[in-house]
Amino acid sequence: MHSGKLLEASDLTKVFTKGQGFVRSTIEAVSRVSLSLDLAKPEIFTLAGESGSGKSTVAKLILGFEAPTSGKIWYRGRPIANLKGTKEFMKDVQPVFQNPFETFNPLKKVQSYFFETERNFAGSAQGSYPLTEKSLELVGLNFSEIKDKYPSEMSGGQLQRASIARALITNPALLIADEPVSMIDASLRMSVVNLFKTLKEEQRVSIIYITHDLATAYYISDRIAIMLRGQFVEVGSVKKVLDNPLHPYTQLLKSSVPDPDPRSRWEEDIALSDLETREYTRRGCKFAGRCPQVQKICCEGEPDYHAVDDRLVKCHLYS
Amino acid sequence: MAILEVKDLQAYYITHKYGRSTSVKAVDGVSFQVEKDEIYGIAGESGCGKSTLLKAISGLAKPPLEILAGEVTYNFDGERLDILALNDEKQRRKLRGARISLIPQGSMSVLNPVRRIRKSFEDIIRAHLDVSAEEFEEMVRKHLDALGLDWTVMHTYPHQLSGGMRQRITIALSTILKPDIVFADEPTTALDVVVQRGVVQLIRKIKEEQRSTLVLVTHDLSIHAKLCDRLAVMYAGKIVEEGEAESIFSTPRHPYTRMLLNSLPKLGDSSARSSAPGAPPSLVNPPSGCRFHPRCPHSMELCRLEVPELLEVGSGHRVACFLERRGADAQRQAVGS
Repeated sequence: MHSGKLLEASDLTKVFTKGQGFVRSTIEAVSRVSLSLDLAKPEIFTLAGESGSGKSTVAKLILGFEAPTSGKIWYRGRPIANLKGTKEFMKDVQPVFQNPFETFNPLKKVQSYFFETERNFAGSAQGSYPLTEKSLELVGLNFSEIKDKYPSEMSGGQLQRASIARALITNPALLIADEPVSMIDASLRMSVVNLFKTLKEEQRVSIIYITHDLATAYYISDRIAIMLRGQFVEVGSVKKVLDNPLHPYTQLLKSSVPDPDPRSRWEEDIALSDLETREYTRRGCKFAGRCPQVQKICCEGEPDYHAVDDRLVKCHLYS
Repeated sequence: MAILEVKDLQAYYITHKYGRSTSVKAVDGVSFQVEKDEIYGIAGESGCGKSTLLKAISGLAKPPLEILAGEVTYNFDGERLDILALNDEKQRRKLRGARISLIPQGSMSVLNPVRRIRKSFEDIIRAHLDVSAEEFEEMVRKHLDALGLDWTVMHTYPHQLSGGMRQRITIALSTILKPDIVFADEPTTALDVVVQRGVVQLIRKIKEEQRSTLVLVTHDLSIHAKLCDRLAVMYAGKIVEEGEAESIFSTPRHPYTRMLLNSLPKLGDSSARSSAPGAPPSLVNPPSGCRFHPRCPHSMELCRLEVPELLEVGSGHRVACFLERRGADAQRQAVGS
């Protein structure tokens, strides 16, 4: 039943507990999230949302770093619970992390990560590393640019591209990129973002792109899921969702993206969430506290997903 | 009337090692004026000297940062003050917080993690004013109300608050004494879009309420577009273009400004965009002539040899580029013939 899918996740839930005994409290960091990626057609799937919306937790669940409280993930038709930690899975699914300066140990040369990965996964002999050079070329770097260098000797943009090159050594089918451009200067962001686009088109790599930057998401992705406090509130093709957002939260996100035009300034004030935990534990719709179109029903019952205009929206407005 | 005048400021990081000294020319010959009641923006990539410039003009330069030349003059209600001539740390302390205030970068590490927010407010107020407990509470309550923050945050520790909340509190702290001029160093960086918008909202509110002047430093041009009246673009320690925000965004003159603006992706537009080629130069050994010439698509022989001056090209719009001069020459010739 899962054939034809590269990745399939259904009803993923992750509950974190805090404290013990009487002061114990729980937070559903990810709540009944489902997504799937096709095997035949590589695509870039974006998870977008504010910090604390559970985006990174979803990434950790898919990578097998955390076990879901309930729900299942299949990779090429096989459950991830059995696959994680196997060489085959690690070779196929590779992560790219947010801060390249934290990805690499400052006391180790950058090249050692490449050599290690190549030895472990491709079985190259000591001293010859053809794949390292090839993958560096893919990201527009030269081996001489990283040779004998420590992370502190490289710029953030270069290092992030090196981090992606390292992930490409094993020739993965799926990249999980957690905020890969948020630490890079706006002017250099496009080099990384364009790289993802070419990887998808030329190397047929599927990418789960996690970001809060809707402008780059619009630029590269095929589908997008907007996350709010652990839930997907709107899922669909990126053009549909961002050109004409239906969920009030997506509308707020879209209008908050600053466009570089001094003639249009934000005139109306918006309500900000005060404490994250208050929204996580809210009954009914998690956005009800900030929503400009809030109704009585929103505070009482959790909305269902409604299929409107080729997408899923979790909002009472469309029931 | 200009509240702040900076003239030919040179601030280098000078380090001595094994008998050799290295200097990082972070700010090299920068001049500008900030008018009263305006929001003045300083933009540029990381490592172009924006934060160093702020440190130097707010009188916070400490070794290895040394100010080699230049003048920084403040004008508070007719009282002129050269901050670089103030040698007394006590005098500078009196200024900081009350007249000049800095919203620092990285709100995560600004607030003391083991003290409640209230204590931080007490520290800054008690350093300048002698107030009773009631007066203190009234003052803070009024300020927090005006900024739309809840009084309950006073009893929390920084780790209990989200990043956006901490940033808003840092802003509230830096502005509680109603300073004449506020310097904000990357106040929206590393925040989510919605929170970022909240911070922009807050900064605007403070400006309207306190009628203070604001100098905003960030690499994010979209934020400058949302807030600034006038804007300066810095590259490798120098200002390359300065002018009204509207005219910079509508008619950027310097190739670097154009490159920065072109690299910004826009929502609703997925046509191919390329990133700025190359990387900012090292400030230890900056390129000769115009520092932008190795990355510039219009680079000429002249650019490698001479440093272009910041010249006026239109009302209040100044550009440091030889292309402009060539354009002006061509115009003059056309008029002459």
